[in-house]
Amino acid sequence: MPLYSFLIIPVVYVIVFRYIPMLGAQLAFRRYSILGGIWNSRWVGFENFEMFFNSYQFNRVLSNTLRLSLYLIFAGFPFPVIFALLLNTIRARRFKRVVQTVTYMPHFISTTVLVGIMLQFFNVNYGIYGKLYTALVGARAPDLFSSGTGFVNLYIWSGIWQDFGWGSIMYLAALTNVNPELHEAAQLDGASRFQCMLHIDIPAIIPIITIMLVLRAGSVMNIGFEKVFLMQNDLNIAASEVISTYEYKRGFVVSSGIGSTTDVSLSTTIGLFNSTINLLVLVVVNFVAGKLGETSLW
Amino acid sequence: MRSKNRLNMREVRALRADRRGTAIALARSDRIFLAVVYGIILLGTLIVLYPLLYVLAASFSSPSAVTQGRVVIWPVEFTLAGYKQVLAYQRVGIGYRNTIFYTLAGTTINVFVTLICAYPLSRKGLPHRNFFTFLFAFTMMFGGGLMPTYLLLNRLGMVNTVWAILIPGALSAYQMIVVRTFFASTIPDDLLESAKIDGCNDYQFFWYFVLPLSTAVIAVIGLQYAVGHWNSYFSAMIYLQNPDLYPLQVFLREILVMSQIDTPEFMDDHAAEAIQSMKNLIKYALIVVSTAPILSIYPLIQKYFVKGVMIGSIKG
Amino acid sequence: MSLKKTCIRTLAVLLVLSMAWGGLASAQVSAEVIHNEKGVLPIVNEPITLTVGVSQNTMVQDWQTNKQTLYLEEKTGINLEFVVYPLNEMQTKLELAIAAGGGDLPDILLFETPGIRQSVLMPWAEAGMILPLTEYYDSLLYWGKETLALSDDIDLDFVKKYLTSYDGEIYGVYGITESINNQYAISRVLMYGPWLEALDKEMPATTEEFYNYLIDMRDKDPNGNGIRDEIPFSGYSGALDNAKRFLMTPFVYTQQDYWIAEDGVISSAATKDGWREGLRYVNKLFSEGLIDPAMFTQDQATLTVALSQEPNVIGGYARWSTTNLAADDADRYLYRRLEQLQGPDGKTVKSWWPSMPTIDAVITKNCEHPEVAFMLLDYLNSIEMSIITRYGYEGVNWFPNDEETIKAQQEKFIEFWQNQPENLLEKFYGEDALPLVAKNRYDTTQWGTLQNDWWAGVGPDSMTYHLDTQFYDLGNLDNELSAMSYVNEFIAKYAYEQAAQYRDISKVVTGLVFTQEEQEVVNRYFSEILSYINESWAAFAIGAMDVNNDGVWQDYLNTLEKMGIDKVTEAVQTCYTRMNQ
Repeated sequence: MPLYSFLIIPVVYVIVFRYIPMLGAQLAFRRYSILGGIWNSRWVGFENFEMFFNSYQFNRVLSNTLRLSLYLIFAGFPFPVIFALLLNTIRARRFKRVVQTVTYMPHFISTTVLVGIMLQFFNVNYGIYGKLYTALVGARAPDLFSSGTGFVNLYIWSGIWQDFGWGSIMYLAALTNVNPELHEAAQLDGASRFQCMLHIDIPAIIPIITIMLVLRAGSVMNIGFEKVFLMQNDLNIAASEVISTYEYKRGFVVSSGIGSTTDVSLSTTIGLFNSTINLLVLVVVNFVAGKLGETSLW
Repeated sequence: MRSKNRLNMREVRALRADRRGTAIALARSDRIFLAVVYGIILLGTLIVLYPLLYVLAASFSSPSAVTQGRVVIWPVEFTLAGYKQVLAYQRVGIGYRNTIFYTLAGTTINVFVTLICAYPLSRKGLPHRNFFTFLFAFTMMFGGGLMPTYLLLNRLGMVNTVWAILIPGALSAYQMIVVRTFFASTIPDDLLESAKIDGCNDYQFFWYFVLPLSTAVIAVIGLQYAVGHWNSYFSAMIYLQNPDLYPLQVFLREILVMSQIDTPEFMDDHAAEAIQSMKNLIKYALIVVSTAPILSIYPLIQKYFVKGVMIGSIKG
Repeated sequence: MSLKKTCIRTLAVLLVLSMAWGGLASAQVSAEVIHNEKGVLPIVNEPITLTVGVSQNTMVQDWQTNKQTLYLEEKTGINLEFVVYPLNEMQTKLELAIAAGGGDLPDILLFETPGIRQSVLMPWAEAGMILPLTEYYDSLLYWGKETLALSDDIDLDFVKKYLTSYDGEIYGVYGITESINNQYAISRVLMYGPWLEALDKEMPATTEEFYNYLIDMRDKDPNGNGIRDEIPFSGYSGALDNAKRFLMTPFVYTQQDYWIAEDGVISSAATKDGWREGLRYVNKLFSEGLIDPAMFTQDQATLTVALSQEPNVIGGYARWSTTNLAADDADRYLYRRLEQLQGPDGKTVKSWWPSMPTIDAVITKNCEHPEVAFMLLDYLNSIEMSIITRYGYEGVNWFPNDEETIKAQQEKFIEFWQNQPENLLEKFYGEDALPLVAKNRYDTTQWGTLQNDWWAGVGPDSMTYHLDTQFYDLGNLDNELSAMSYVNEFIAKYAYEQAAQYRDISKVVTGLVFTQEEQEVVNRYFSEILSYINESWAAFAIGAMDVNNDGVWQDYLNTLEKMGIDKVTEAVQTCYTRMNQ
């Protein structure tokens, strides 16, 4: 029983502040009006979903969202892990501290500024990229912002650049719990540092890696709005229109005055759709993880 | 304690060995391996470092030098005008005060709720453990959305009070699950059993064993929550009306949003030009002003990553 | 809601009656009427308090203690209490407050130029959150009328037409900026002057001449460094509208959202043969390396880097003013404007951006004295307050020039025009133009600095052409562009005469006030369509889609149709017909 008493506060919290607002999700099946509110707006069944699924660009925005997200997971996920493992093999503390502090700094640069810097650096004519390319290859550099693949790569790799240091903190913390005596014993037995890493460090952090991956998979539909929107242009839009930017633009027509018409029902619908996919993916990945190893979410 | 001392000695030795680079313990393959590791880490650090230095240099440079692309790595036409302009806003002071309060109070609440939630869920013996885990995990994917949450907080009378900032985000299911995994994989079952035999109850075990053994993970989630609070502006913008309660980021974001807007069509040339140069002036100073304080807490937390050795000794 | 409306109407009627009732002085009228007669200051004798919602503004330090606030309070006798919303989140916060019943709404909401959209406002009005002001326009409007009387083109009927919602009511107080420069600036581009001289060329006037000039810039090394590093024409992603209007209008009339009205029939320019012709031309320029494809991807900051190169490499770019260049860059004074080109049909058409009234303020249901609030907002549209809202105070932010200065400027101005190839001044204005020479000098640095003197253009204000030109600073007329905004007024006025055929507002599809059903159709289909038109324009331009291939073109048209362009056109048509009967 004392164990349950730990849970009283968290459970009350989660019911009041998380589950009660979820009742608002019924707006996905209603046409929202101010007077009707959450409970009395007109019931329309799946009309909002149909509207979203039948929109001309639905396939495009869905596949773009998934492409960016999966690429980001596959390319981005290993970096913090590897970085943490490498950093862990180093024992020069001051060097380690400096490296850690530097690599976690980009996490604090706001998206607006990040994209501004990228546009400057990767400008084909006068950016560092453009100048270097011309100097090395002798021809005008291809404009990375102007093609779908260029956009995707810039998006992914700038994301990795920004967050690998920050992400590695979690694994570094996990590695502190590895018993150093194991390393010593292994080294006495003639194991190399690399072998130690492979056979001691990695197994020790496998549970946390698994959980992080499962959790990451559960946000597969969440591609943030701001960075994509700022990097978007008429040439790369075929690859860069994602669900969040699509949703944003919908209310934004006929530019006569500020403000966009917010479609509460549609955004609830899209939110519900994303959440459902996320949940399904999470459950599947979690199941697989549970089968393959011992760690799983529940 | 005995084992801790021993470990420290060993570490010191290993450290010296690294520095000299000639230790007997280091085989040739290890030296190559270490060289590669250092190389990769250095390269990664440099790639990260350059844009950061650029931001720093740009913040001390004249706006025209920045817009004309003359800043490479060192300030050009050194000026403090950007910082002066940013600090001229009266609300910077109030904003700092509020942000520090939200970060401290918010993080304390977060860490507390996360730990008391994660611990029971890490215990294999807890009845309905999967149900409870799912109850929390579900909230990672499904949320109420902005409007229902606002209506709830309005009904609870929390709108326009500090509670609207501190309470609705009190627990991140994500962090909770991470901590739970930590507990489950690092606190040995036999430790609990032997403690129980010695007459230790769950509260005591949590307090005297679990928490001391988990400083590293507490430091990490504390840091992540703190950074989240530090950078957060949205809930403050939505739930607060009194500017005296605003955190720094709300105000900084306004300047940043401003710098993002293209010169509007309807504006006359003079206005457009003046606004343009202000934008360029403060953009970079803003980043430095807003991130320097939170960056400076990292080294304080770092020391917890090199500790956490006690658990090893118990396990071993 | 209807009760509220009725109450207000009754109140308004009572008010009118009481005023008509022998034109009694306000002190004696019934208890409901607490304000003085219209046009009389202060508006109220017994101070009342109104709460005012505004968005945080980076140029206004503190709304409550702002000098304009204090001035307004003193003049009108009304105390103002501000509720400040975070920048860019005003709409979200208002929508949440309204969802929660609207009890927290302040009495008055002020909006920045370009005001709040009808489509955002109408659901609020329908839920009874916003009061209709139609009656007040008839009974109480005073100061605004005085200011509008200064304009040649704009009158109250024009304002009311574009403010009236589909239910026949007006829900807001207007603001308007009448700038002839702005009306045509959007179709203009800038060319680097010294290269015209270096290549011994006249400013191109037709699409053909423009093409040839770009070729020369590419091939003949106008910057004289011996390298072919010239970029004949450039731009940036935020100003593509500018580029499109300039490049496309010679072939098909191009304006916002690409609608055109021909004899009352609406269609999309993007489906016309002229659009294809225009794209062929643009594609030719791109494929021969005459336009920098980076114009699609770079932002203002990166264009500025390109413009700042030594020696200069940019021959021209799509933007109407040189604010992209740093203030201390001498090059910014060397650019010359290039007005709309003559098309292959021998006609020169200007893409026009009419000065439209916007909804800059509304009164909410929580306001106990809506008539007083209306009079306050009307007073903001007075000549005096309009100047303060835009330019600040005489003797502080702007200074009347003395006779000598005006005279000196006049001479300079005449001299400037005498050195121009065509003396438009004489041609169109004769001596009459002289009084327009900057009567006042104002401190331009106030824009972009944090101040506490004035409202930085937020809320209603009326800047008519005649009012505005008093503040144009002639600056240093030795070089063309420093005086550009002023001189542009004259050029624009000239263009305005020339483009008389497009001065008819009924030919421009703008300021549409949709009904809810129309709005739903537009919201549902149009953003995708617009995005596809822009995407295809870019693809055709750089050659990713072949504009000369009939199949590709047909696919493009078919796609537009599948996306529902007909449905949107129909909605726009219905709305346009209703508004322009």
